[in-house]
Amino acid sequence: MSSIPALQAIKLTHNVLLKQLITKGRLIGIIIVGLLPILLGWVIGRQSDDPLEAGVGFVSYMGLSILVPIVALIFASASLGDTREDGTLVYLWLRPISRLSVSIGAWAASVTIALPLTVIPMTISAILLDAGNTVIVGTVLTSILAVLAYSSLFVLLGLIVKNPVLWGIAYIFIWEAIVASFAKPAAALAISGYSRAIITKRTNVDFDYLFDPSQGVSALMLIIITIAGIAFSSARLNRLEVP
Amino acid sequence: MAPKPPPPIHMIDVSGASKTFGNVVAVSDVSFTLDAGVTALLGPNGAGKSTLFRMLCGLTTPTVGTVKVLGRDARKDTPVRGKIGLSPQQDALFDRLTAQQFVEIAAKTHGVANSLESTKHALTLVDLETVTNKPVGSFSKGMRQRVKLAAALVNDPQILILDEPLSGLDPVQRNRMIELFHSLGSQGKCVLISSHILDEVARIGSQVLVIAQGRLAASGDYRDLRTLMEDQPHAIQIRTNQPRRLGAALLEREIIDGINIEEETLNITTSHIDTFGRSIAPIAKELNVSLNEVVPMDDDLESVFRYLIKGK
Repeated sequence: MSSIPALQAIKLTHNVLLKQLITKGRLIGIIIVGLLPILLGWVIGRQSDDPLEAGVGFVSYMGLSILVPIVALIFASASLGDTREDGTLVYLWLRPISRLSVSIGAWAASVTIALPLTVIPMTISAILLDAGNTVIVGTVLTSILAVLAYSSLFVLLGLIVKNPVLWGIAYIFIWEAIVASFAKPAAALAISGYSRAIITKRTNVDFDYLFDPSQGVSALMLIIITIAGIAFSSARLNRLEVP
Repeated sequence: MAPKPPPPIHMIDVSGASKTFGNVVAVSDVSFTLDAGVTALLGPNGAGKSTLFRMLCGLTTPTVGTVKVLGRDARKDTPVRGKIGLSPQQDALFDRLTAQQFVEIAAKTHGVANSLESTKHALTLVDLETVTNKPVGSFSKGMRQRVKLAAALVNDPQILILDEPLSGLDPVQRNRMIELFHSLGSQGKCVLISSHILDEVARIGSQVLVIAQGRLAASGDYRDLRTLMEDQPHAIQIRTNQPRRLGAALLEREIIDGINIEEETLNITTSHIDTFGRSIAPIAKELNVSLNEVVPMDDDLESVFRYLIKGK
């Protein structure tokens, strides 16, 4: 009796969940949402007196605080959350594959969809903002790191709560947008605090944020959040009562 | 003195297993062992069959007791999960995959060496070889049931746990699948099949476990269970135009044990069901009494379970 090699198990889980996640409705909805920052980027780029500050502000508030977390939430929370809800998790759970492989596979499937759906419109809007290459590179880099972290967090959320989308929206719009603006400890527990710090530090635009870590610390924290989310998802799968 | 030999490892070994969900006791102090062959797990809906199956597969932990498959705990031991084939009760499948993809994924996640060949073989076993490229989301209930079976069979498991695998199948498919189960049992596999239909269980296998209200009410040979059932008084309702006259005649001839009359309805109990069956029409004719309806009231599974539990 033997287990399946980890890489093979991750690939299989990724492929199965990717097929389940890509639905026409989700894709159309997300593409429409993705067109909005492109349009806004074009408008702001044409009308702003200070394209750098306007551009960084737009990427921080529209892209990193709304588009990236929402897209990651929709796909990542569904990756294992839907299988848990509808009972198909058993077809991955009752196999000689490690829980960690299932968690990584689910995260990878979410990232595979969320990355192009966020990074492409964000990059196009950064180009249309006409704020320089620093903003474009910063946007791409920060969006990627943010997608990785949010996806990991929301895969875990899908395994913990029912209605993960509602909980995720509460986290994005109440915790990250409101609570973290008034309390420094709360800001340290918000992914957007780190992702926004990277782009503002790279472009030397100062928005007087309450929480203002360095680029290195922010990138490291986003990576730590990614790894921790996957590890906790794996632990959660171990303890889960599978329907 | 020679060392004491270790106890034999059964293919399935359930010892004092209980499972509670809050205040609800789903499975209560169940113990049994199973080895190669086909065993039917019989019980009404909500009796605890699926919870027991979930414990066997490690999908949920017993609150008390132990559940071992091939000597191991499927929840903790990753490799043993490769030796189990489960067809769960729930209808959910990865609907966007074709039948071929669904079963092949099962093969690959089980580490089957030649996954394509094994997939084709498994789909042929369940008579789905002609629809392999259709998405399972478009399948009828019976076809979905058979896809689940194919996925459970594809890794050639030593243990097969099939939760209501015949529901949704037409009579021809049922016969085919029952033949398949017997064939697997005779190949040395441990096949455990749940059902809530008594006649179905009679055809599935001679070995039965009966579960009711979470408790193991009976286990052993199906024929013994039938005998046990036949020893119980049968309740029958008779609709007639002269219930008092007919009831008195049946009592006088000691064909029935008890009687209750409500308008034109005669409710009787009898320990002599065969004699009753042979005599009721001639007696009615002899008395010139019309028989409008004769309905057995307790040949349903629930009654059998009540008898078994009462007998314990």
